[in-house]
Amino acid sequence: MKYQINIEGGFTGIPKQFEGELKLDKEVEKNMLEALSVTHEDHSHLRDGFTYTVKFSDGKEVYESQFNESNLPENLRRFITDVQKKSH
Amino acid sequence: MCTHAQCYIVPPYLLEKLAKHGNNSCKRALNDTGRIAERRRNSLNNLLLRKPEEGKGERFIYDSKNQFEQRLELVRKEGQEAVADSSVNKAYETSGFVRDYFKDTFGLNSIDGNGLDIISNVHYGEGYNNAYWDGDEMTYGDGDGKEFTDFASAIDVVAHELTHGVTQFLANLEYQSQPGALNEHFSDVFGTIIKQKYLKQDISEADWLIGDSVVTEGFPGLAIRSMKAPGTANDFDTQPDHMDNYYNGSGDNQGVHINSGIPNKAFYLCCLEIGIDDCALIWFETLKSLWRTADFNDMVETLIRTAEELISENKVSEKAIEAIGNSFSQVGLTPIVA
Repeated sequence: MKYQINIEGGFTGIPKQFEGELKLDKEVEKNMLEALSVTHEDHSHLRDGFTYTVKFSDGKEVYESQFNESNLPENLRRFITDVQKKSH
Repeated sequence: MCTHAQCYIVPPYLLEKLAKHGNNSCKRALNDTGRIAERRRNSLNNLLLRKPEEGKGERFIYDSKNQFEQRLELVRKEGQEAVADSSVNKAYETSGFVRDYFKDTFGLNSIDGNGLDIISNVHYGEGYNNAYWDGDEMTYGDGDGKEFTDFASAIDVVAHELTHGVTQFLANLEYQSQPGALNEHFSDVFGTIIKQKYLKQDISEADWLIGDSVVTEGFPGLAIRSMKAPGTANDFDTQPDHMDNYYNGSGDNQGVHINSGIPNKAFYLCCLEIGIDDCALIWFETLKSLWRTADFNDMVETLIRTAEELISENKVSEKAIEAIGNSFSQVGLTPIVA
């Protein structure tokens, strides 16, 4: 599965983009795609929080959703943190 | 037949019509409904009249222990001795300095003017390159150590985030497009003023940089933003310093951290003309007068109106109106003077 992560905003205002491919356990992949499909409430008073645009594609379908600090699902948060750490 | 129970849910105007037509049951129901409504109104008024107890703006510092969780462990609160963790102590000290600046300079009792407690979360996440205000509290990452370092230890970052709280309770500027850029502008304005006070600098000594102490040597630049020279702080800095280069894209909530460079530059120029303390008062009083959807032109008009009032009270320099006009004209925002 291919992924693309765009991180925008934040105190620094410096956008970051990460792209790559990953192999996931079927169950983990299912949970990640489910996390993308759920609509989450926005936090209207969030200032300087990051905006996360997460996109997955498996060759057939493209799954994309946008989150912020207040509604980023835990499993996507962990995934993004791992991707950022690997990029260092 | 109209029973009491049935009439209760009938709208008052209909009850009134039925009552006028001689329906006694509806007359009773109308009177009962009126009495109930009156009682409810009185109760609500009493609740509104009761002044909520004013807080003391006490500081609470939580350690997120490198997890993405807020209020995980309370590690220091108001009046307690310093702890071993320097990030905790820095967040405690700087948030107190910011709170005291607003109180001593403008009489503002904490973030909301009503003594709201000041809650900070440090060591948030893993290598988290950010600091933010979420409507209730502040959260700081340690930085990745490669480009950024501890956000909680920088006075201008803490002042910037805390000012987002002040703005929320005063003007509540929405966080997109020009009102959003003004929201960011006010945070940079009080970030830089408070940094200069903290470092005991005057405007000629100040660097006018925002976030210079949270960038590492590996970061391609001196700071996050420059109020003196927007667009020059680092290799990614795209802030314009004039309306001719206004960012019209959709990124960053329609450029809230980008277009703030325009009023930031005007603020810097205005400080050179009348000094930072007069500007601080004019900008603070303007923030109190602005509203959710105010744009750049609204800001300039309100600044001038505010300056007129403050000049008439002998609180700021008589040159303030001219200084504001000159400064904003230089960034492409010419005030319309009546």
